[in-house]
Amino acid sequence: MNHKHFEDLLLSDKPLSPDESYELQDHLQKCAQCRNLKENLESVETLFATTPELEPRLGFSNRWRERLAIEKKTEEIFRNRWQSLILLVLIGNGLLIALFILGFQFSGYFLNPSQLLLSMIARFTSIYTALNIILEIILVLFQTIPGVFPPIFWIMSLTLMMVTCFLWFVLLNRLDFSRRKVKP
Amino acid sequence: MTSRESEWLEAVKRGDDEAFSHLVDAYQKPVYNLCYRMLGNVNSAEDAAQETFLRAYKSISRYDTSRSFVTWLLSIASHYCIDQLRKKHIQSFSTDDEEYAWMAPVDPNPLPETVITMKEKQAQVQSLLSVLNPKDRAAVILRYWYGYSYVEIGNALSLTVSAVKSRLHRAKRELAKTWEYQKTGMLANGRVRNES
Repeated sequence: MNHKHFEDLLLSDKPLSPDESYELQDHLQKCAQCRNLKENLESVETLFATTPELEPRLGFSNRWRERLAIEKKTEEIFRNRWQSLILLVLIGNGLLIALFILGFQFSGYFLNPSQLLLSMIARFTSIYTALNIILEIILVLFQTIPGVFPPIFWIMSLTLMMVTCFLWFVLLNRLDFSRRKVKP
Repeated sequence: MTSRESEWLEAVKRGDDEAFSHLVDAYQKPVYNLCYRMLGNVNSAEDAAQETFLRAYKSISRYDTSRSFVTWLLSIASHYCIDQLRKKHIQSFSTDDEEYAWMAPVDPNPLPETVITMKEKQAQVQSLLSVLNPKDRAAVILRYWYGYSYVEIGNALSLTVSAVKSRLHRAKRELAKTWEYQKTGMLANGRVRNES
């Protein structure tokens, strides 16, 4: 007996045509195997239909909120770590490139250390000489400028500077106060 | 989709976490039920339901508003549970009495016999579902507890309609066979008890 066709009819969800229905009923009367399948299937479907939906424990939403907060914090830590790592890699790469360029430029000196020493001494001497010249210029200016302008000019300049400083200080304080007021 | 649901979704997209909590309140039951039916364990079901909402929250910008929100949630839950079952992290199906204490009874003041019957029913359902492979199990759950059509099941599980049909066909045959084994086993046990 060919059960497959009738099994397919029993297991299918689509509505049967009158002919198919008649054919199936006829077969079920004669075939215990297919009748058994039908009964078992109906029992399973009845069990599923009469078993209620389940609910989670009370406070599910609160537990979800807590989990979301933990997740957000973990993500922030993870993001910060990644940012730090990227920054470190960038700095490291920058340093490596700088070292490579410097090494390339000073490779001649590294090959000849005495030349490097001489060039360093020459560099320091030139810097020392330049500093001395600047110092001398400043000294000359300090000796000559006070005589060029009358004392009243100096008094007025000093007063103007003091007033400007005072106004700047007051404005800064006001600005800071208004910012503090805006904060919740 | 209800107008309140659309409002909440709009608010969530603007970054309002509280609005998402309303959606969690509204859909915790179907999501949890699906996870429990899939995993058969209350702790894993709770964890899976929480994870489902978390994944939905993170990918809310990708949610297509033309689709039903609950179908989208159940799709996320199904895929997550299928993955968990494939990884074999789940100690599936437990008949521990303490676990069933979390299940909501239909009657607020049930009789002890009703509670026992309900527990037995739940255990029977889970033992039947546990014989199915994860995707077939998801298809059966969506079909019987949520009344989804083949198309909806296909959308939720990323399957074609013909694949859904063949999976449900196979699953029903498997369920009927298991029911038969259980029935025969119970009869045999009863006979042994009577004889002794």
